[in-house]
This record gives sequence, C-alpha cells and structure tokens, in this order.
Amino acid sequence: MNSIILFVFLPIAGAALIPVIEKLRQELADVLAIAIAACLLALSISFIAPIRASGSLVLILPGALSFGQNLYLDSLSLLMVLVISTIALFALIFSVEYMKSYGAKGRYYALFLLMLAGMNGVVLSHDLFGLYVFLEVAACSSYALVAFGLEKPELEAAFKYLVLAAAASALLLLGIALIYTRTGTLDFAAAGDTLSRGLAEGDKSVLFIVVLFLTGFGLKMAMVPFHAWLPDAHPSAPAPISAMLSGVLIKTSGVYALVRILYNVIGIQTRPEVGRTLMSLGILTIVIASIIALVQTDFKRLLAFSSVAQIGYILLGFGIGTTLGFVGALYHLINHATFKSLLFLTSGATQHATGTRDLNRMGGLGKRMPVTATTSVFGSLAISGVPPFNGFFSKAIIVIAAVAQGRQTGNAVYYVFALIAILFSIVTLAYYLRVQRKAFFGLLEDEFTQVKEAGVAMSFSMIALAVLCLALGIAYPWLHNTLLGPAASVLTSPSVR
Amino acid sequence: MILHLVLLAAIAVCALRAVLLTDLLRSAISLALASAALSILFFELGVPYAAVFELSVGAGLVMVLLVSAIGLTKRAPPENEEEGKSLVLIIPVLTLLALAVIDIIAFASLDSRILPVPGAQAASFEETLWRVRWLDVLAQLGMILAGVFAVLVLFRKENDPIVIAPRNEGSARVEEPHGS
Repeated sequence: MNSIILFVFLPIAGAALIPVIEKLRQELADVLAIAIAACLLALSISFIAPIRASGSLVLILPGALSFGQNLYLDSLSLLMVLVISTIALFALIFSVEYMKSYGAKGRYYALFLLMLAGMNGVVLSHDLFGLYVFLEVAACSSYALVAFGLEKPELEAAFKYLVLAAAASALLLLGIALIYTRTGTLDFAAAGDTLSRGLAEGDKSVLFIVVLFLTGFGLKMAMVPFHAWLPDAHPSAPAPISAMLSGVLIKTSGVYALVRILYNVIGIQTRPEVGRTLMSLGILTIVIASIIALVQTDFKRLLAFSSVAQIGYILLGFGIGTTLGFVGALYHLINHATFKSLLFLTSGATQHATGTRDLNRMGGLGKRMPVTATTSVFGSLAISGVPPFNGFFSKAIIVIAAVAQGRQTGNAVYYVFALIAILFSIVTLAYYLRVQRKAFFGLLEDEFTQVKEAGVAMSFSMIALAVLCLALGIAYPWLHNTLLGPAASVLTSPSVR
Repeated sequence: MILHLVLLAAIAVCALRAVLLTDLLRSAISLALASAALSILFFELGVPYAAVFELSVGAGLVMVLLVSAIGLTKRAPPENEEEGKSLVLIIPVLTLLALAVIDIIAFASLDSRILPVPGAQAASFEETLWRVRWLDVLAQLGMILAGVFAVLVLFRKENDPIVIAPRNEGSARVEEPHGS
C-alpha cells in the first residue's frame, strides 16, 4: 500500500513543479493544482473500502528500518484526508478566478500545495517529531498565504499569527522532548504504553505534558483564551485560504493532533478530569466567541469568530469522551469544514464584487448575486443547526451525548453544558440571520447596482459545498457506518495499532 | 554543568540581542553567535552531527545569506526609536523568562534518564537519516520549499500584479470596516 506516500509526495512535487510549468503557460498552473487535489480526493476515496476491511494500513518504505518512521492510514486519518482533499479541491477551483487580481498565482499554488502536504503529513504521521515537522510545513506555508495580499493589515495579521504559532510550537516541542526523555521513543504506540501507565498512576510529569499539549494545540486551534490571532489572520487571507484555514487547518493542526495524542498516545481515558477540562474549555470557547461574533460588522471577521465558537462545539464533543461524543465531534468537524469553507467563499465572492467587507454598507445583494446569496443562506442555516442541514445533526448528537453522559454519571454539569450548547446555537442563528439581512436582503444600495454575480468557477465551488451541506445531513446513516463510527472507534481503543 | 549553564545564558543573551538590536548587521551577528553557542552545547551533550549542522547552517550559511541580503538594502532614515521601545524590550524578556520557568518546571518533573530505542543504537548516521527519520527528511524538503516560496511571495517585485481589491475593473481598494 505504498500509494499512501502520494498524500505527502504528490503535493510537494506539485509545489516544486508549478512555478516551472507556469512559465510555459499560466493556465497549466491552475490545471495542475486542481488535478493534484482531485487525485488526492480520488486516492482518499479509493482507501475507504480497504480501511473498512482491514482497519488500518501502513506504508513500509523499502529499506526502512523496523523502528523507523512510517505513514499510517487508519479510519480517523482517512476521515481527515477526505475532508482536507475535498475542501482543498473546491478552494483551488474557486482560486482560479478569485486569485487573478493578486498575481504570483504559481507561487500561491505552490504554497497552497505545501500547506496541503503539511496537513496530510500531520494526519498520517504516527511519530511525534514527524507530526511536529509537518505541522511546521503547514504553518510556514499558511503564514505566507495570510500575508499574500501584502497590504499592511495582512502583514500585521500574518506577523501576529507567526508569533503566537511560534510560541505554540515551542510548547509542543518541549512536550515532545519530555515524552522522548520519559519514554525513549517518539512512536505513538511505543510511547503510549509508558505514558498511559504513568498518567493512570498519577505521574505529574505526564500531567505537565498534557498541559503543554493543551496550551500548544489550543493556540493552534484558536481555543479561548488563545484565540487572539485568528480573528485577524483568517479575514486577512484571500478567501480560498480563509476557507482552508478555518475549514481544515485549525482542525488538523489543532483539534486532530490534540485529540489523537491525548486519546491514543497519552490515554486520558483513565483521567476523566482531563475530558471535563476539554469540555469546559469548549463551552468557554462557544460562549465568548459567539458573544463577540454578535457585534461584528466585518463579514469575514464575524466568520472568524464563528469558527472559534464552532471549535468549542467540537471540543465539547471530544471532551465528553464517549463513542457518541466522538461521533458527534467528528461529524461536526466535517460539517464545519464544509459550511465554514462555503461561508468564507461566499464572503470572498461578495468582497470580490463589492470591494467591501463591511456589512453596514451592504444590502440587497441577493438581487444581483443570487447564487452567492442562496449558497450563503445554505451555509448560514447549516452552521446555525437548522434541519435538515448537516449542522443540525452534528450539534444534536453532541447534545444527546452530553445528556446521555449526564444520565450515566449523575453529574448535572453535562446537562448544563448541553443547555448552553443549544442556547448558543440560537445565538449563532441570530448573528447569521443578521448577516443575511444586512448583506443579501433589503434594498439594493445605489453603489452596488452594477455588481455582478461571481464567475463560473467561483459559483461552482459555492454550489458544490452548499449541496454537500445538505447531502452530509441526509446521508448521516451512511456516513456513520462508513466513516464516523470506525473513526470514533480509533479514539476509544486503547492503542493506535 | 557550569559550562552548560554559561552556554545557555550566552544563547539567551545573544538571541535577545538579535531581536532587540535595530542595526540589522549586528542583529545577524548576534544570531550567528547564538547558533555558535548552541553548537558548542550540542558538542558538549554528545551530539556531534547536530553540532556540525548547527554550526555550518545556523552560524554559517544563514549568516552568509543574511549578510548578503543586508548588503543589498539601504539604511532607512532614523525614526522616533524611543516610541514603544520599552514595550519592545519587555515582550522578549518576559517571553524568555516565561519559557525559562516552563523549562525549569519541565526538567524538575523528570524522574528518568533518556531511554534507548531498541535497535537505534546500532544505526549509523546515514541509516538514521535515510532509513529511520526519512519522513522528517521529506518534510524538511517541504519546509525548505515553503521558506523559498514565502520569501518569493513576500518580496515580489513591484511590477508583479499585487492585491488591489475589489477585484473588479476600475474599482477602489478594500475598505476596512470601522471598529473591526
């Protein structure tokens, strides 16, 4: 199963080739970048059946030593590469038209593909240092992509992002160094044996490692109180990059990496208080980010705060620590990737057409941009948890998991958290209805009478993601049996292999 | 042990100077000195390959690249350097102190020595690089490419078409909403 390496090798090779190919013909760069993302999506889909049959696949590189690094594809990694490839494909199709005015398109695609390679490496690596290096590949590419416009706010946002992400990396590296010192290995499974035993016995050094990872990955995923960089960085980036950052990067380099290490390496199942800490941080993230989102007038900044809030829901699901909680969290992770990418693309299309992100200046754009407006409504309803869209089902599962755990443990906190999750879903609906009313409904402002609908490529991406928002909700039973259930079982099993 | 502490202090001081100095050349030299001190520390800790890489790349190659780049720039007219200087000084010092505290807690919490990886002791440097840590090498390739493209993007020439939004013909630049 050596084709697993293509998830990392193909985008790196593409990044090296694109600037050369661009010299021959500009359009070839568009074609190559999209073809690579499409190949990765096809490759991910081709692994669904083998992974269902065998549970996990390992890439054994010819000549590699038995204790050396390898790439592992299990149900959880497969779910992640499917999400990454899907969002990347639509973001790249959107970029063909959207990125024309930025220039340096070849270099943009190269950085995009390197970010893709980094994210794929993170989800396929079962070696702590390998995971760290791929995190950095994705992060370094994303700093440059946030600053791509070269305007002052963009450079400032990228610098803020770089400084905070570097602090996160320092904490993660220290955590990894401590694990190596403690266990003598960087391999997930080998380190996991010692660490889970240590945690169960109340070893303080393992608890300290948990704190380091929680802070480091908390910064990467913009969990409250470490969220300060995201509302600047995500709106500053070009729209397809905002879609990638909010849609998949914070989940891959933050949520996925944290959960994989906490549950599969450190084994926090034996310490329920760690799970409860995750839940509390999740609730804090939902409440604070939602309240701030309510008062935003910048379209993309509002979406950025909304991303922080939705990360809270995912953390809440993972913190519950039951199979149902994991299913809900993973389902919301996929769903958020689709509707938040869609919403960032619609905000990009709106900005592309009107030249502003200020909601107070917009109005009645639905008349001139029906595709953008309709897909934006789809995204807004999905993220607000309105049935039959996907967001409704994932939030419902998280709430049901919290209530079920409350019943089982007799702990009222779970009920309170479930209630807060429901209440703030209504708050989410409130600020997204405000977005729709201010941007797309009402009277068309005079200055926007000449505004045109987004082009074919941009519209295609938005329509495809809007359809996905609906399809992922309707297809939940299939999703559960094929992807979510097996992925959740990876987290509940004591060992990664 | 004393030598290790002296070297750690030297690294910290040189790194701080690299951040705080406004003269780019002096800042680059401070960075090279920090790398050189780190390289000596690596030798002392018994990792000669890491030491050689740190010395040749960190203190050597990077220094040459930085000095070459600085040679291509012109000195900017002096600005009001006093403004915000105390803040510029406080942030790196506080960061360093915070990291030092975290490090002390981390090492105080350790109760065991580094354990050997089964079979790893027999692996040569070449085997370790190409057959054990091959994924890191592949990732490093991605890292180098990301660095190269980041520099090319951030320092692209003025005649490269750059972002002017809205992306419609004849429109003006994006307006930042008030209060955002």
